[in-house]
Amino acid sequence: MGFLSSGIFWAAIGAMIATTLACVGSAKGVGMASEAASGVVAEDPSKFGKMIVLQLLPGTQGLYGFVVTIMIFLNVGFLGGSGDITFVQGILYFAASLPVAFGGLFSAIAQGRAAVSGVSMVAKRPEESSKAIVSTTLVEFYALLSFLISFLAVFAIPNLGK
Amino acid sequence: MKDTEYATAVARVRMNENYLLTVEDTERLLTAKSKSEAVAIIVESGLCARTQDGDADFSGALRDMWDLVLGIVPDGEEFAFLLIENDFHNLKTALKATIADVDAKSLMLTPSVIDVDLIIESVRSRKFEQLPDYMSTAAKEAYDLLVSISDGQLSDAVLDRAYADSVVKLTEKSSPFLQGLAKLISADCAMRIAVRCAKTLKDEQFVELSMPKCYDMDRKELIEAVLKGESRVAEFLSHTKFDKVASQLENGISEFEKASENMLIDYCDSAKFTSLGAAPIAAYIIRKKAQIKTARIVVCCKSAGLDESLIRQRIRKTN
Repeated sequence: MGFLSSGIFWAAIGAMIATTLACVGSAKGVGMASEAASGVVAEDPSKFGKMIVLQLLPGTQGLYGFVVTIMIFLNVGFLGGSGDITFVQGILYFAASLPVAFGGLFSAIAQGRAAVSGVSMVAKRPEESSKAIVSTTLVEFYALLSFLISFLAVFAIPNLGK
Repeated sequence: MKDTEYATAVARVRMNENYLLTVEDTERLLTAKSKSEAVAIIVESGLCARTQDGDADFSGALRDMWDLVLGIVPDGEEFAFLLIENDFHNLKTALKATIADVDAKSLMLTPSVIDVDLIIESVRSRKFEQLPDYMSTAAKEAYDLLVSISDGQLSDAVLDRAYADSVVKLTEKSSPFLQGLAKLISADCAMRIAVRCAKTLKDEQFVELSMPKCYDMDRKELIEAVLKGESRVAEFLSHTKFDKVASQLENGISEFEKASENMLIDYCDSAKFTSLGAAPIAAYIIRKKAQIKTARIVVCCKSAGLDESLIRQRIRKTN
């Protein structure tokens, strides 16, 4: 069980969690929105263009998680350079990944549901598609906050815990 | 079933809601100068297509609606409670046709939950156990009444009771919205039966046999009120959650039944703001059926040359 006291172990777990949970949320959100959009496009293929933005919106959380993972990889030397980090730094990387992981997971699912409502709205009132997109984008704010906190924390960790 | 499994179905239903009558369409329909103008408005709105002889194809529109709904929902059985009305109609037809020894098939309604041939066959062979549980006992009871005392009205009343009870039974495992809708349909049936029985001075045995289970009112008290007369029924209902419907009884049975049906449309209003789950689909079915009924009434009235104000009295809420 010596690996539990290894900083690199905790950093790696944090990096994996950031992408995995954020991507699971995005997959669920995009999946839901796409299912609904397919229903509309099946009835009226000309609405595909209006649907695609709503389908894509819950997908950004996965990207945020991915960026945080890459940053952790770069900092701890997984992609080259020195891999020498302390146990405290490892725990800090793990903690830094949590906002984007859980914020991404839950906000993507919530955004998926908002996108489904947007799809229903566009199905009935195609001229109101911009309002549907704006409403769905509001959820993005919280995903962005989570990402920003994870990003800043990962950025600051190399100077901490030495 | 998870509400997210209905995402595609709800989106398709939302698209199809664009082909329902709007308030403006209904107004244009009412002010149409002739039957042909009314039919043109109905066809133009997309509610239904035109038949070869130029009439509105209402039956086809209902069939198309069920084809769409059953084709897109994850589990069609969840909506069977909204379709079994046709099955009970078919059973009544099969029973009477068998007694009269005539062919019933042309009088059957489709689509239906139970295959039409199975209903005809089970009635002809008296093997009522071939029918689903919710129908078999009532079918035998109705048949026995028809054969033993030749009372077609009581036989129909027994099947109407079984229909109302089955609607609720079929939604036992459904979402709260569907359960609530089923209980309202059952209450609608119970109130109509109560008022009609009171109006026609039916005896206790008839009322007891025809009254379905009541979920938001006391069945025993309702039966007692029926036996005491129409005014007591109105008084009883005024102390239940159906007081607004009961208040229409003073304007006549037609207004009362209209208010009772409108209650279903009002209940479905909450589904307008739901994007997932079975509720928007059930609401669409209720609305489409109500609109087709309204359109049918208007076309028939226009065909008979009735005045606009008379037609307005008869039409139901559709939006």
